[in-house]
Amino acid sequence: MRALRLPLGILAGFALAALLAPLLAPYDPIAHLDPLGSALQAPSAAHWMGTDPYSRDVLSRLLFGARASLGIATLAVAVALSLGTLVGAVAAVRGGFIDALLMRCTDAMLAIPRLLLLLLVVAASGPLPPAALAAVLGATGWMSAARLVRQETRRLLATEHVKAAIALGVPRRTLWRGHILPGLLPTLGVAATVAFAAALPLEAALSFLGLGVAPPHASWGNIILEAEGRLLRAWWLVLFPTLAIVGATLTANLLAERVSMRREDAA
Amino acid sequence: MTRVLVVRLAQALAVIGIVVTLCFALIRLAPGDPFFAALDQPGVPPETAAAMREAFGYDRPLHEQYLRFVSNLARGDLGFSHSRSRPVSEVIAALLPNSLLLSGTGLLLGTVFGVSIGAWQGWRAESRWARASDRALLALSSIPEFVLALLLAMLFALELRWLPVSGMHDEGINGIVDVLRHLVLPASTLAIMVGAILARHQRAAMRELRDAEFIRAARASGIPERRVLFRHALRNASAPVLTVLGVMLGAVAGGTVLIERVFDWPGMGRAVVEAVGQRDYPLVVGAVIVTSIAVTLATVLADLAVAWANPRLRNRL
Repeated sequence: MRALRLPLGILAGFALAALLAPLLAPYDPIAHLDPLGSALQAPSAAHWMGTDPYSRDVLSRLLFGARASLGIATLAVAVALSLGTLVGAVAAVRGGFIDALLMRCTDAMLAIPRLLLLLLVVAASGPLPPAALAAVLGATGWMSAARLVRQETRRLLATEHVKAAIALGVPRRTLWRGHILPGLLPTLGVAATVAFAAALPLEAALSFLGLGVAPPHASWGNIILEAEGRLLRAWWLVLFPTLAIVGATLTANLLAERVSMRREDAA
Repeated sequence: MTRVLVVRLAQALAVIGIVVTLCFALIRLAPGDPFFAALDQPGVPPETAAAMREAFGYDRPLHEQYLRFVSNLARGDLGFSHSRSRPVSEVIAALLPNSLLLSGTGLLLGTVFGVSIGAWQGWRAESRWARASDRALLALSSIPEFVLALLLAMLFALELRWLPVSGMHDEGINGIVDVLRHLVLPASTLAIMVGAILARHQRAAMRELRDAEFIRAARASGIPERRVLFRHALRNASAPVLTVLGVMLGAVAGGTVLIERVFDWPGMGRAVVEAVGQRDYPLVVGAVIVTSIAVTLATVLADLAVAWANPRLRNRL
């Protein structure tokens, strides 16, 4: 558990900053403070992370952007895990034709580059509100969870205690709640961290392309978009969101690595 | 080997069938048809809209549209790009080579970079440098490709002015050297992304092999260390690494889209992003299908390469 403390603590810090954004942010994140006087200002005492082309305060946008970026990624993980667990568990329990069909569909989804699939969805639906964006991100990211859950469920179904429970005629609900789902938890933990580390940069990329979180609302990706065409002159518009994105992704990757190491040690 | 090939190709065909169906479903389930932005306007007479829809078959029942979609695809007809006023297949044929040049160079460089660093790290796992560089690679693989592209552009193109920042040619110049100069930054971005992930798998594979019986036996029989490394360890480590490479191809295709967007590289990815903005569905669908087919076939190739590299796995595919 000690190895997990540092990454979990950092992620909790990120989450806290997002939750407390209204208290922590020095300015209104979408207010054009002084379009003529203070657009594109370098970091200073008044604006710790500078201002963007519309004279909005970057620190405030970064804090509110954390709400959008982390919130969407977290919701996407919840959707991906639910779908993945459903597909994986059904495939493992049913076996045979159903199993083959579900796994072939999983392969097909994996064969479509995820970003292109997201672009296709956005092309078909037009700009998406944040909740829908999270749902779509989740719906395109359940495959690795499904594979992991299928494998683990098959293993669990073959263990002595589950076989004994089935032989004793334990009701199906109790079997799942009491014996299989708890056994799946470590696997789901790994799947969740991996899914988070994939969803966060994808949301940032979509927002950077102008197809994710819609302006004037901030996300870590669309703050960077404002630097387009003046990368050096407005370096702070690239630097600070980059640190946030890389920091959160790296922490999630570190957590994924340590959680899977623990799982291997336990097995 | 032939049996493996046949089975894998049949699976690939099934996968492509599902991809095509999914694309069709997504577009047709969306509110309105591809024309609704252009035609359902107050200024457009309803008869004109209806005539246009009839001409493109959007008034037919769904199953008929689906059959038409599939049979057109089979004949290589990907539809008409509304925003570029040209057949989608022409647009893609013009841009695909540029994308392949970028992603191919990036993959190649990334594989060389990842395999050599990972092999060194795994072989010298106790060295402090090997461990430190592994942490560095984890950090590197946590940088999204578009951010990495921006950072490289800022440093090497804008600040140091060593390399061009966008496009594929300088105006008026049309030489290979010029294209290569433009290729360096986009391809390096992709190579770093591929290499950082690959190296970590290569390292794990090498570490496992390093203490394997057959490696120790080879050493004990007096085979030089260099030969043990290259002939025995690297070849056996190539199977898991090739598998990872196959799995990564989709991410590479997505990364190429973003890198093309940042460096204004005239490839399919940049065109797709523009097409999404203009709601030019046929071009987006065409690009998704072509890319998915390419990724699926490349994955089959990777599987065959795995079977070639490790005969023990042949029967398990």
